Amino acid sequence: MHSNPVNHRSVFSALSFRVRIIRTLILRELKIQLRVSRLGFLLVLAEPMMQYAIMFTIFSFVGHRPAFGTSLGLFLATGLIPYFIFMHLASRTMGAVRSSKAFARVPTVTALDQAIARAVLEYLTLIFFALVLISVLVFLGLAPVPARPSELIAAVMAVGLAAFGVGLVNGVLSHMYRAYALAWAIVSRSMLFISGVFYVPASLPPMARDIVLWNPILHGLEWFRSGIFLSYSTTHLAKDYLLVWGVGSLTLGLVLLSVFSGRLLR
Amino acid sequence: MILEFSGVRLNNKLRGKPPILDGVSFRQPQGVSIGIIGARGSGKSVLIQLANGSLAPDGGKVRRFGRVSMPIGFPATLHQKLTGEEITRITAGLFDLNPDALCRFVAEVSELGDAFYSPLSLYNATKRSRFVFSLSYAIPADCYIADGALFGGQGSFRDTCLELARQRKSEAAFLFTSTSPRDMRMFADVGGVLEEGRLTIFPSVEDAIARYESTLD
Repeated sequence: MHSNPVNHRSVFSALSFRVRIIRTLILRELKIQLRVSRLGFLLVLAEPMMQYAIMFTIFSFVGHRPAFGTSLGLFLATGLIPYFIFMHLASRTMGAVRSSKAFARVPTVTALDQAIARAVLEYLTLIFFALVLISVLVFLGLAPVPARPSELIAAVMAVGLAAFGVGLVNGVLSHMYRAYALAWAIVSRSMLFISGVFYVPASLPPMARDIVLWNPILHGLEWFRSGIFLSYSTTHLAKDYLLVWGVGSLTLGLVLLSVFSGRLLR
Repeated sequence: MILEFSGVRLNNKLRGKPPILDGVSFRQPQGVSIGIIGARGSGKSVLIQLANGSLAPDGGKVRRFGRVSMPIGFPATLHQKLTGEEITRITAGLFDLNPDALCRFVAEVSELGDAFYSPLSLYNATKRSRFVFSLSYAIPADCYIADGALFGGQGSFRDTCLELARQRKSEAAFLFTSTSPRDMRMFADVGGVLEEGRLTIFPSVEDAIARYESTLD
């Protein structure tokens, strides 16, 4: 009476199937987001925009001068954009790993597929946020046209890589150990202050600087700013340090995910 | 062989309680349907989750050699905000199936008409069960698993659904849990009885039913 739908598997390789799974998950998420509210995508932008606006208001109110350049709005934006990319991407990836049980009933979908799908969607949203914010600032005459666009893109990619890797590691470990989840919650709350969002490392006392330079996110911010400002000093920027964090955490995350994938399903 | 459970143990999260499943072992050869009957709380649902791979055992191993379906009637791709068609297309994407062919199949079997193109939140219970059973059986598998009902709905759809389930049994196989001797007789080739986390396999379904009924009193 009824026949099975046609399976066209053999035409494509396993890899292109993975890509299609991830694309399907992204489109599903996007559809739901837009369905929940017609302004779905704008609402996603609203959160980082509000945080930026609040921070800008507070700092201009107390008369804080930009640590570099002449515009406080631009300086804060060059810090918050890479900072948000790291923090939001890491936390979304972590959440996807922790809640990977959602699609565990679908035999073809792995926890990694779900993490990649969520991360890509979040990454695109944040890049959209960055484009909107920088365009507005350029339009208002507060920002120059980025001095080194290729550095800007490289910085955003390096920050994304590290955020995804850290998110994977956090997802597995925080699922396994309560204490780890708690520790990360504390660290992530203090991250804003040690990542150089409202200062530049060059202006810090040497002792404080030596400490914050261990923070890979700070190097992401330095890299990003060197792509915006023509004369930004890169004395303290260690690109390779951020890249080592990215590759290292991604490797560790993939290993943890494959070794402990069963634990996520208990 | 489609599926193999060897010494599967699942601990009870409540301390001091005996395991939910203890030393469950069985093999499911290609084309052989296994029905597992047991009282409420005997560990039927977790056994199906373990077979599906959405739950990992605390001890022992579950190995899948063929394609094991999502639990019949509970496709994980459902979402209240999405339409029947969207959910079907998403499911096709995740299972590497032709989306148009899958949509045609589900629309035809479920007889939802225009409702196929409206969000799931607008479906009543009848439409919903038509949709989930049609979608469940539309996806090719070597073993269809079910926790409870193998077919559902009302009226003529119930007959269609029963016919579809019979067809899938003849082409593939079932692994299902049940409290109904009637379903056991209709769909199982081999019977299993779950009692307090322990599984006993009976080559004859009637023996399994007799054993189950003897424990009821």
